[in-house]
Amino acid sequence: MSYRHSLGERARVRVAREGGVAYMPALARPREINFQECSLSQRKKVCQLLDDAEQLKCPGDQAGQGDQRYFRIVIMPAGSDTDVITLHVPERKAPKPLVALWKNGPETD
Amino acid sequence: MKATRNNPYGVIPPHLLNYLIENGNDRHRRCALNTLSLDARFRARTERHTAPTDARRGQQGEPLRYIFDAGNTMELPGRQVRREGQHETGDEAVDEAYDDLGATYRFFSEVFGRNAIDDEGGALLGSVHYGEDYQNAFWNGYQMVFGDGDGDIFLSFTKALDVVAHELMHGITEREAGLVYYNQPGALNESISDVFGVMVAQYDAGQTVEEADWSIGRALLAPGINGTGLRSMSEPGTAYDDPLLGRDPQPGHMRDFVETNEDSGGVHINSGIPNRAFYLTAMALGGYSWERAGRVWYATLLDRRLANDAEFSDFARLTLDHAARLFEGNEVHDAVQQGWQGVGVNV
Repeated sequence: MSYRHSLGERARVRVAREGGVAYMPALARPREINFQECSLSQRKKVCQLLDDAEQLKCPGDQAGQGDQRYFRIVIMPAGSDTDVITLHVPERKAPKPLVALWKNGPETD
Repeated sequence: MKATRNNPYGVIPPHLLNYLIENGNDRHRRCALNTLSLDARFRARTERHTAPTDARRGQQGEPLRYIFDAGNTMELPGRQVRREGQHETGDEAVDEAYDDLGATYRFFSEVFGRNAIDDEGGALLGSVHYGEDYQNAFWNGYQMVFGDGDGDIFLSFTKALDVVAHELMHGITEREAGLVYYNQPGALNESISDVFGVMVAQYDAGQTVEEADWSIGRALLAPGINGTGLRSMSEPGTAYDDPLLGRDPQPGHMRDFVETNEDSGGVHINSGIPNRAFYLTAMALGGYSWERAGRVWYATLLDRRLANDAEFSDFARLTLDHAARLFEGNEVHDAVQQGWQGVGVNV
């Protein structure tokens, strides 16, 4: 499945960095990307990143094992909290663009 | 070597692979992604099989420690900088990790007769200076890893003996019970690391339950952070309240159990409940935590009846069994029962 072809303008994506020796709400810094507020180019880049994350994901009950950190990506194709897709990407495998998306939001055109 | 031979990017370091993922064409990106994924598995496999330290065994009562310096990269294990019997290096993180692993080893050896993580004298491996300003410590299924902290929120993660012991305990739990790292079994997994982490610190300091502060990671918080540690076992939810960290979300009772998809189903959140059960038990019994409450919890962890998807009540029932088996009379059994009842776990 390619997100490039399946996610429309109503989609939203949440990215948070979780795991670690303690859960500290402010350090997870969840970021939400609303496709309606993104340009076509930005949406394409986010979808590419999600396609990449699909290949790097691991099961949710393994991502944080032993206090390891991971990125939790929640994809809401319809823009609502129903029928969401969740991906867990271990921090050690996370590509820089994913980290940058979490830190800074979508890259400006 | 198979992964390397089969992949055109097998020898490219991860930062270049990241660059390719970011800037390459579709083919470059696919290859680089595959390599990153393969590389992680490959490294894990080869480290297990070839690390020269792993083949040696420590004698009962004698730890076998190896400390590595990751050099502020995320490559593990890094350069070996101190091994068993060698003198201090002058690098605080290296020497703290060495000492803390030694203190943890001693606790398990002297209190429970356990010889290292695998109970077979296997090497204790720790890497320090992991990443840049890295705000975490973890167990990766093979070794312990410690970041330096950023100095503003967290100090070096080797500064807290209870946290070092917490990470080592993940290795023991993985071997003994394999508790699934999600929801209640995951919170039990976390709690067991806290329970034994705090006992290691109390044992090292010679503290009774009344003298101990029952906090986890007190030494990690940088000056100026409004908090007493990462978690409080006596009053979960009160460890910190700071703009940089947020507010401690731990509950201390089942009525406040947090249903969430975050934090692997709340493993570091709901662990406050079994943490407080242990605290209540230990306080009711008095004296040293490891002498009675600790023995009950350790026997439960080793019990083959403890399923890997155990919930709080499953674990609690087994603690009652072991309290009755290990100690004559009702005192310990009743203290354990009241400990669990005090946090709303019915046994």
